[in-house]
Amino acid sequence: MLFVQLLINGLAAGALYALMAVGFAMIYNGTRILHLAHGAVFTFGGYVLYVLAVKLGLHVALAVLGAVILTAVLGALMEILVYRPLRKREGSLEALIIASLGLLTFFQALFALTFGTDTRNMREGPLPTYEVGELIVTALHVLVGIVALVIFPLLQLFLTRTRYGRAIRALADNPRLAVVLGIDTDRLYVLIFALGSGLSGIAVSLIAFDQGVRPEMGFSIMLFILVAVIVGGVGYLPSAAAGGLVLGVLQHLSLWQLSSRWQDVVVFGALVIFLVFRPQGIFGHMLSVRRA
Amino acid sequence: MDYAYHLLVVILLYVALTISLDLLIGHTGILSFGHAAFYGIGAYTTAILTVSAGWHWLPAMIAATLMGALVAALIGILTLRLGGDYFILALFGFQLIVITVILNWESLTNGPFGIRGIPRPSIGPYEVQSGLGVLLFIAAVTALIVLVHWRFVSAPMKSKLHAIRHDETVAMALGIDVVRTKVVVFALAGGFAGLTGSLVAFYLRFIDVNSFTLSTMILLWAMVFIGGTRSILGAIVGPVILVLFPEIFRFVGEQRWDVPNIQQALYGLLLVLLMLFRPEGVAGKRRHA
Repeated sequence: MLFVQLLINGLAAGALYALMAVGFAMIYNGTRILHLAHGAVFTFGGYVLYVLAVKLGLHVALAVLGAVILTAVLGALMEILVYRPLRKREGSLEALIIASLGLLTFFQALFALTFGTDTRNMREGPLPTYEVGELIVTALHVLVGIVALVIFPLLQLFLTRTRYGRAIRALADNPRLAVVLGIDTDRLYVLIFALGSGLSGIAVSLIAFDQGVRPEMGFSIMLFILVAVIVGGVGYLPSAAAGGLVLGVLQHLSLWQLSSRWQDVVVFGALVIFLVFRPQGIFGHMLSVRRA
Repeated sequence: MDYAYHLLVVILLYVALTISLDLLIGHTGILSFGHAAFYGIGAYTTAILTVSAGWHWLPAMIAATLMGALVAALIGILTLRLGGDYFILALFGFQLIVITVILNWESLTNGPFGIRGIPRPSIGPYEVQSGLGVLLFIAAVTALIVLVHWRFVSAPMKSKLHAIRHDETVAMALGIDVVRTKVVVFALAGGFAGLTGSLVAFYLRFIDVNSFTLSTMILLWAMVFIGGTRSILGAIVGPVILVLFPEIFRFVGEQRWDVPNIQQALYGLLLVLLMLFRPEGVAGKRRHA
């Protein structure tokens, strides 16, 4: 029974990682930027939610909407103000990564200075829970399940059936060819950043109600997301989602045998093992996307 | 006066770390996010050998250097053949695993409480005392690191490393064993970091995990890029600026300010602005297109 309970907890955590991982992978596949500052965008969403819902007392739905919109705006601004100028100057791979790391560090410290380092809670007391036999399911578990089941099919429809969605996939598949076909890459990059960042706004809305908001929450989750994307396989969005799910389950099932102190070692050990023995991830390159 | 010595020692330690990280980032194009871990491995090796095993300081210092180099060689062999972004992630992972192991392997590392009571080094009958003696001791070792670094990156190694940095495929076509060369460079930098870790253990005589975390690593990256890559002057300028900078807050009353976070915010902003407007750093050479 403990096993099943841990599996449920793991699936819920994994679905959240999947939401984040898909947003990050969308940006990475489309722009080839290792967007570490994605973690800062995520945390920003958490504080927007906190200010709107707790400080200003707005309705929860409005606060979530605000968080999603403003994370999308912040992600798009990072692309326009930082990444685009670097790309135009043909900045090296390292320049992009350092700029991204700089953004992450800057925002994390800024949040700590503005809101303090303590956890800001969204609500009093624990989440409502439901008992099913011997198992305990929280409201978060249910919500995460519903959101994942709504968002992922919608995203798939957008990417396969709409003009912009197809353009995004074309860009991820072959950037040069995409330009030849007349796709306005600058505009598309902004759209990709806005979409990917908006997904992190949704993910943080779910997490914040359970765990509250802390300045460094984005940094820790960012590292997990990177592992999830690698474990799933780079280059294909569903494999990033699957990677997130696998990682969440692995993280929680490890509690079955190991103390929680070793969770990070399990997760990053999985990363190192995958990088060394199967860098293409569990699901491989299902698309023929390879970096030159 | 003691405080001035302290600042100088801290600058020297960071110069040693910056120059070894620049060997990776600047000279060879290896973007390592694991440098703070090798630094920590050196410090913990020193602390465990001198305090728990009762070793003399010199063999402990040599062991720390070798340990840094050995672990770096092993990690390098496993990860250096990976492509750019994958390697970065692997080293992030390695850094976090090292931190977690230090925190949780309590019988060896004393977990979050750290290790205290590290003995002072002694040369013959003279114990290296605080103040000038320690400063000279650390300055001598740092000078050794700078010297070895300088000799190493001189011709003919220089052109080899720069070929690898510019284009690995071309370097291979020129007959350079790219992975092997990178492993050697990585092990050397790991050894430097281990040696510096040994110095910090002897200097502070107390170590805990907080000195070797990701924020240290971000600070080191900031130092490399603020000073400018591939420049010994840059590897001195970066640490001087970033070590002396927080001292400003002493004069404006530090109680009212959350200094660590102000520092972090400024480092972050500085890194972004540097990349946008002056990627070669304060003292670095202009890059040729």
